[in-house]
Amino acid sequence: MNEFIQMGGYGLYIWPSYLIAAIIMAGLLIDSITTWRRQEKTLQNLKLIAKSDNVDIAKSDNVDIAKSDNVDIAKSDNVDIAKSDNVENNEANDKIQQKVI
Amino acid sequence: MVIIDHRPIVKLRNYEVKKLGVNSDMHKFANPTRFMKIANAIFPYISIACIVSLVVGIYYAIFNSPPDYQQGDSVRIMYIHVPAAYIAVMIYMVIASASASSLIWKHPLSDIVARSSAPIGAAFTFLCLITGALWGKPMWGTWWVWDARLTSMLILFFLYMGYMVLLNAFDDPQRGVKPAAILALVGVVNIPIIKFSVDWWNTLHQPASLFKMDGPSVSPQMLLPLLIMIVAFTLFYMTLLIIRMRGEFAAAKIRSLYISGALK
Repeated sequence: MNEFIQMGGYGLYIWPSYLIAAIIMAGLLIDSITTWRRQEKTLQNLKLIAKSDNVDIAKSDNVDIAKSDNVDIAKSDNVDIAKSDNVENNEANDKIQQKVI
Repeated sequence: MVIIDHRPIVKLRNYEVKKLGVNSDMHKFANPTRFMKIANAIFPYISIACIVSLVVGIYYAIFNSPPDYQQGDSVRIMYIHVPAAYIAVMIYMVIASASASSLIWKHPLSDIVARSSAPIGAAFTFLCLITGALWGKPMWGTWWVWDARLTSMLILFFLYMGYMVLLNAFDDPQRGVKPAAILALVGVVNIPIIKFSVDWWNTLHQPASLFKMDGPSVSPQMLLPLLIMIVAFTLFYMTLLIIRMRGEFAAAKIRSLYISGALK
């Protein structure tokens, strides 16, 4: 066993090589997955916001988005999106939202 | 939690959006969407094949391959070092091809392939340099020499770094695409230098024994684990590429949501 770890005297160089390879590859994998999940979550939240705005504008003239604020957005970690959500009635909204959603 | 703000500083008018080639709606994603559909369909097979080949490859590399008659057991570093070098160069070629197609056809898919590949390539170049140092110390008596092969590999690493810095240097991510693509294409000069450096200049680095005109000159007992590891690293790259492209697609859709004016 000891002989195996020593690798003919080269263990000091071989094992770090494999260890660093494992760390780098695991790091890449974790980074890729977390980035993807975070973007996906942000996208879903934004779609919800866009959707709720659209419905609101279509339904009534006096827009009160604070009321219809989506609960799951408030819950999620994208705090600044939830905060910045008081959308004034943007002219472009009507036109473009139908395309986006 | 990191909060990403993709809102452009200047609000664009519709015609400006079109001029920039930014997606004002989703129809331009039609083709990339089809691509991702195929990618997602093959994803489970690629990732499982990657795990299997990694396990088999490492088993052969550590337990079931002979020590070298000159280098002893230190040759086991080769099973990480050579595949890392191979994949580092291969990913650079992918980025360069994608950059060419991005400059010529302005296809959003090629931008996303290049952008997603860069960190993977940089990481494998780094791994190649580190394992090279760990192999160089016992074999050459030094961690590093400024000879052609090592230096050109270090330049590859800097090219990756420069590419990523340039790509992310602008508030509007689209603006970095062109300068970064040009850098990637200029950097292709480095690839033949890496490949032929061991033939053109005197070096401590051993000459090519795998990718040769007259076939590999490695003993079959070492060739098998080496090839398995090269396949494993390639599959690993493909797995990561698909995951990162999913993230980039979501980011692109977020940007187009903002630019379209659907959000404040």
